[in-house]
Amino acid sequence: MKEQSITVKQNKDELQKESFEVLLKRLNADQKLAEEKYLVVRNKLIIFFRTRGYSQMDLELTDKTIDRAARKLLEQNNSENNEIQNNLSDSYFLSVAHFVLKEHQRGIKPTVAIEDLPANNQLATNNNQEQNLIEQEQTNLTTSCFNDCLANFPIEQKLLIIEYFSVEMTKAEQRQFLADKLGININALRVKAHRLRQDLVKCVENCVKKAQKL
Amino acid sequence: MKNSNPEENNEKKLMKDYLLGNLSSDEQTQVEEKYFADDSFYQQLKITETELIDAYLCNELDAKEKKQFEEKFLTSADGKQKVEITRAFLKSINKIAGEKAILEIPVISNYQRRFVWSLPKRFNQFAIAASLIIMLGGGGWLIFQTAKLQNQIKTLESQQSQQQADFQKKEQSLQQQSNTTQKRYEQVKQELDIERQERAFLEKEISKLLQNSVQVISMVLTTNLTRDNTKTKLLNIPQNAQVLQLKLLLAEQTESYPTYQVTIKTVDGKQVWQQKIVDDIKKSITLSVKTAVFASDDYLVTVSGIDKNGEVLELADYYFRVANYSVN
Repeated sequence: MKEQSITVKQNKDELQKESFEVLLKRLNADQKLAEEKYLVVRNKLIIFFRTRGYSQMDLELTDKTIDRAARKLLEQNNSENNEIQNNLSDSYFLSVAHFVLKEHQRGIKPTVAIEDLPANNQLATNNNQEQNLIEQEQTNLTTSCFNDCLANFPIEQKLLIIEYFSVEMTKAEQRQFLADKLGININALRVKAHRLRQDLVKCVENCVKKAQKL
Repeated sequence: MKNSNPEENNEKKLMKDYLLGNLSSDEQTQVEEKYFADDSFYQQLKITETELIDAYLCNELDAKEKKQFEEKFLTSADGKQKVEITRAFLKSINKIAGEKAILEIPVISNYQRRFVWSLPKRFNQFAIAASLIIMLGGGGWLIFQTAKLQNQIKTLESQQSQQQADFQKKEQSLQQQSNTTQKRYEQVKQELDIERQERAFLEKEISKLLQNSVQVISMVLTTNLTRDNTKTKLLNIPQNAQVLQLKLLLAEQTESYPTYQVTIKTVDGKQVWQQKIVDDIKKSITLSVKTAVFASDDYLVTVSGIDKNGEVLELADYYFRVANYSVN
């Protein structure tokens, strides 16, 4: 009986692996681009479920949607009648997400209330002292990674990030100064600054992961 | 420069409302379809999301928005993670900006700075901004930043050129050292060569001198009263030997004379050598005889004493044989 369940699990894992590979191929023939697109799709789905009121299980529902879409794509892939198309549209995942959401709604109702959050606290903090210490350590590590990553940015980009995002001055005026200095409009500056910030955050996430592995 | 247009502002507002859950079901669906289909719209949505998190952390949301934000973001693992990363980001940025502002705003005196930084944060921001706007006409700060950057570049350039100059100096110095060492090496080599030549020359000279030097052989003879072949001393004279030093031992009872005479003769009576000695001889007489006088033959050495009257008296005889010898 136990052996049977292991085999089922193995088959399931293999199936998931196979279907995921098919999914990536359908997103883009280039493996690297496919992985990047996968992350974008995943984030879009997280936003979708969160704004639909399922923030507590946004990751779970996102994974379910991806898994469902991947299995569907594997079926198509194995079917001889269907032509395989690359560059699968992100909208395909949206329709699967709606389906998963409806399926989920039939089972559990979303229950998110502010009353459930701990009082007088912006973030859901844990009273446990040990947990606080871990969180503090995590914050210190993240801050240290930010400093390291920022130090590796070219000086103009570093200054742009600091001047755009620091809140020591009135934001609007500060940003207008910057836009004038760079000769671009405020929205172009906004996009530029956020792209740099995304690069920085990506660097920080890698740095944190690396440090946690050590 | 153009500011953001109303359309952009409306889009931003639409996205913010979407993220906070303020849209109707139809509007929500429209936004979802748009960001799933259009990546540039999605990028704008991501930016709006980041700005929303910034605003939350900077207490810029009103109470309703804050509640909605917490419902959406702080109950989600992904949302919480984004908030944490943003918190760390803003903390780092503001720390750096704060340090930068303190170090880099020269128009504010220390007193003013202390005053300004001791004020509450919101007033602090206003005070700095207002001061800068008033004092520098709005653009001074950026001008200063540019000047600061230019100064930094100049400093870096000057450091770089200084380093280059130092490097060149070092290189020259090393080259000089290398040249000096090479010269010294060549000089030493030359000296060594000269010494070698001199040494070779000297060795040759020594060898010559050795060849030309007087080679002495010696022999000690005791007195023989009878001629007996078995007792005859045999003398082998090497080819390079030039002098034979003969030491003749005298009998203890030998009388003392003012003059002595030593004669060397062949056995057939031919005198080959003779010498008179004026000395106080007691136990022995030492003679130096050129080997050239000898040939392969038997020799008789006679020691005589000459008294005051000139009378010669034989005192002792000595025999020896020269073997296999001929003068070149």
